[in-house]
Amino acid sequence: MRRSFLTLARVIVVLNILLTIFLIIATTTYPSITLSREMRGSPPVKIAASTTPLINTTAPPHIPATAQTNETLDKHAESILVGDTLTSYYEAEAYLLQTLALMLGLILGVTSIALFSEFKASRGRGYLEGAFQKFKVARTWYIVGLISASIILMYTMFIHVLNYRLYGSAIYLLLVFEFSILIFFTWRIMYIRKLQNELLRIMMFK
Amino acid sequence: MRERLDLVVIARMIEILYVEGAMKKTQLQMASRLNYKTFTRYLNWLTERGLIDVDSEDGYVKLTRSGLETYQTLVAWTRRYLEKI
Repeated sequence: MRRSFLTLARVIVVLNILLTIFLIIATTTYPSITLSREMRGSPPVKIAASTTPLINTTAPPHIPATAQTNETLDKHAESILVGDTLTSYYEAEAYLLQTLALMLGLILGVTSIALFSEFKASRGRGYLEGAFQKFKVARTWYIVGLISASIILMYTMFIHVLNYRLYGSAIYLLLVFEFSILIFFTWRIMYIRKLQNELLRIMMFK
Repeated sequence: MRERLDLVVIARMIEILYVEGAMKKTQLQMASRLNYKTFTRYLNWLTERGLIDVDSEDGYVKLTRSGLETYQTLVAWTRRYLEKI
């Protein structure tokens, strides 16, 4: 049984949506306490711009440096014991949820464009018109696949940079998988481009 | 500026003329599902390329020999390439 590349593209796009949902769930629920201490980078230390007030008669009492360090360590230990997530450990939760929502929104948005073009193509009558509609639909699906693969690849790299021990070797598999998908869609788009040029030549556009 | 034309619409018009044969402009416009302004633009383009011929006396539109050949080439091309797209 022969399967077309278009069907494969549709399957990959659906797979990418599922993968995005999985990544969202995994990232927001991944506990930072399960990470090994060695693999953790040191959390960012906030340093005050100036510790000596210029003119302030009601300045707070001076706290010795050792006491301050202990306080910071206590806070840090507490946050780990509470069992917060990786995102909160890196203080990234402020923008990470928005990034995740944007990522899913973008992928679903471009997929809906492809579905709409599929619907439009189903209304085509006649052999030649149907074939040309299919050509346009294929181009749309390949572009959608390329966009979704790029988004997931970027996010995977982001996770990789954040902590390369996250998900173990799965992150490498994901990187390789998404990169190969990216190459596949680029190849298909180039092929479509070649066909389009040939078609324009037949139809005397050039 | 170069005109932007939809290949699907051109294919539709040529196919209608191939299947139905010569027909009046209005009939072709209705079958092409285009408004008058757009239809005229496509009709002029096809006439300029010598793919269709508009009879100045009775206003009938028909495919020329070149148009017929183009249609057959396109069908053969789509059978060859678009099946495995």
